[in-house]
Amino acid sequence: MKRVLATILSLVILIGVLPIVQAESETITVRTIHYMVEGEKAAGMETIQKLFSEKILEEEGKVIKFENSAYSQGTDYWPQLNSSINASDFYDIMMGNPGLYTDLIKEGYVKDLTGNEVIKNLGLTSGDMGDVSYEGKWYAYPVDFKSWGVFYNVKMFEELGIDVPKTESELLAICEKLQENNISPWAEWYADGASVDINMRTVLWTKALANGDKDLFKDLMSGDKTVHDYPYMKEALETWARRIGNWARPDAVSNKQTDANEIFVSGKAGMLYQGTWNIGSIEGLIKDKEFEYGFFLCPTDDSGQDPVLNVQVDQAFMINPKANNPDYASKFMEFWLTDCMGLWSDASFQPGITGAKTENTPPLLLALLEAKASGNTACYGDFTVPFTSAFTSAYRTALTAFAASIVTGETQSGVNSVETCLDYMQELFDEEIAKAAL
Amino acid sequence: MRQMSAKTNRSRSVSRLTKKIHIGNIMFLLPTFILFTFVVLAPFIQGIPYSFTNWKSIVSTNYSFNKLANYEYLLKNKYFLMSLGVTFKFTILFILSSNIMGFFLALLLRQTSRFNNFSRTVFFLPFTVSVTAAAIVWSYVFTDIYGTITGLVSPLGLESQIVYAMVIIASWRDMGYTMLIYIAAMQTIPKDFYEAASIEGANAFQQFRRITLPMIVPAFTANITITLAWGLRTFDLPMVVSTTKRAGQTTAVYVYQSIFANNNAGLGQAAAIILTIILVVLTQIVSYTLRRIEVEL
Repeated sequence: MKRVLATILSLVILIGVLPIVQAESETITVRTIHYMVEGEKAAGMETIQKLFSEKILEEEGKVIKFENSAYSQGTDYWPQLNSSINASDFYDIMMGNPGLYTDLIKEGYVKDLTGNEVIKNLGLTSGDMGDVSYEGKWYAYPVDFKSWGVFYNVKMFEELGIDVPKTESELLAICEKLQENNISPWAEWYADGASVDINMRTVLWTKALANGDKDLFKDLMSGDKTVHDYPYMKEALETWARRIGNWARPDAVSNKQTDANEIFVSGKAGMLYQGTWNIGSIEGLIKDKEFEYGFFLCPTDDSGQDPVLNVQVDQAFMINPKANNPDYASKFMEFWLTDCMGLWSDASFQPGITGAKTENTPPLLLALLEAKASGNTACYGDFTVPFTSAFTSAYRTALTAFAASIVTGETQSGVNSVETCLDYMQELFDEEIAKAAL
Repeated sequence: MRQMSAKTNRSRSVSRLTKKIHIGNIMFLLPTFILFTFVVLAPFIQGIPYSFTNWKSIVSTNYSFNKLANYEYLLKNKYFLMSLGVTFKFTILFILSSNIMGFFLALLLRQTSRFNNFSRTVFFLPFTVSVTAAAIVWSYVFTDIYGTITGLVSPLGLESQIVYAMVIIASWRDMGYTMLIYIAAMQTIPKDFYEAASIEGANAFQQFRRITLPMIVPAFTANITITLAWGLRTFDLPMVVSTTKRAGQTTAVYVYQSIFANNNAGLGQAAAIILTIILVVLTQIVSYTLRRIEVEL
């Protein structure tokens, strides 16, 4: 009797477990590692993943499951990605611009996408493709682009009778006016390396590319040239210093991006120099609030000409051919680029690289798409190579010391002027060059 | 003759007992030792050869031996030596502040009462918070409270003050831990000692100087050794508050940045070995010195 009961019980369990085992064996898991820590972007990607899973289930009868891991780009993304690859724990989709991950490419952890039909048909510029290329080959799917400029408080500007500035003098006059009205002109966030970096780019990238110095970063990293060889490096610092002026808030050097967003949205500051990746965060903060913001490209001289739009591919994704499901990972990216760009743009508040728009696309994104389409741009991808993470870190360290010295009036790491900042920057670059030679 | 053989038998049984105790001790230590060997010791020893190579990215398989080049570079490099300076400065200030504050809190709260129990819990609470969370909370304190009241720049934004700000954050978090160790030590002192001292006419300060202090020296040894090790390997705090400021970067951060962020794995490994040697030597010296003081007192 006992035997019969035990056999029946075993059969029941077996019948119950079999479909689960079968379903598990048919499930295809695509693993993604990214640094979209902003909620709206991650949510946007998950929506697209869901749509893709439904499509594959309908067309191929296969179950696709996505496993997403998010890490902060500034601190632990690269170490996590590096460590996982070192432990043969591969992600199918890896977020990042290939120029920063050349070791992964050299070791065969990034799929060569050169000539990919989907990417080819997007009709992107050489600047866009430069951001996802390495030594002339394509290694990532570009999804959207970023730029930077000035976010401003529309109501505050209207109440004080301030118009959007066309020249640098007008911008500095606005700073004076806001200060006179006991409002901080800027919500600064110099504790974040990205902030000091983007404050330089409007002048640096634009002038370097206009001068044909496409090897700017390459030559600085090789030591063939120094920062003193590029006059616009100095010009960029001087322009930024004029913007900081004597209006900086005491918290300017300790604020990070989120702090500055809150200061701006709370009306304590009239303007915020920020990247377009931040639109979603600001939208999240002003939900259910009566706050209206505008955006303009920062004028850096008094010529009155339209400022040049800096363009850099923002979200880009590489495929690891050594992972378990690189083919489905590629299919997913191609689905994203062809069928979901409008949806992505609306969900993430990011201007799509293809220029796709919907009836819900906010005016700010439309303006950015229009500015990019006009061709009055300076693209990071047009430089031959980007700064490596070590040089980016050295560059930002020098710029942070510069910002802190202006805000506090104290010498920081020997930096108390444009010249000393350039000296410090070159010293840090020389250190990286010496390390590379070991 | 009979007496001698009895003596020999007794000494044999004593030595057998000692042997048994030794084996028992070893058996108790064995699981931890095996774990320590596989998780800490073996990887560390395995990593030593990499410090003599020019290994760049940890995903790369290409590297060659460069003898002592990494060590030579580090020992002459201004920024590595600066990171050691930051580490020592932070550690010394952290040991002093976390122990002094923990000790005074222990003196205040050593008697058991409802209020004291509640206060002990409150002071210990920060220790349960992660360093990262503590650093974020304190960055708001320095900016929104300190900055608003004084109108001054947050010390986290100034290179001249960033180490002191880090010491405040670390001490705030860890003083509850040192307090508990000191309280535990104070509570082991028999009350008779104080009663006898009172009868002899010793005042409160004399009782503290002659009874409390000597009796809790082992607690000082424990706390100072632990805070020394914590201070020397401080990593998460400067990673949160000083990513773009060299003035706040400790050697542990230098190691991490070299290996992972900047793709100089061989160099980073050499820096890690130098840090480990310093940590082991300093901890041994401090621990040995404090134990000698214990014996003298």
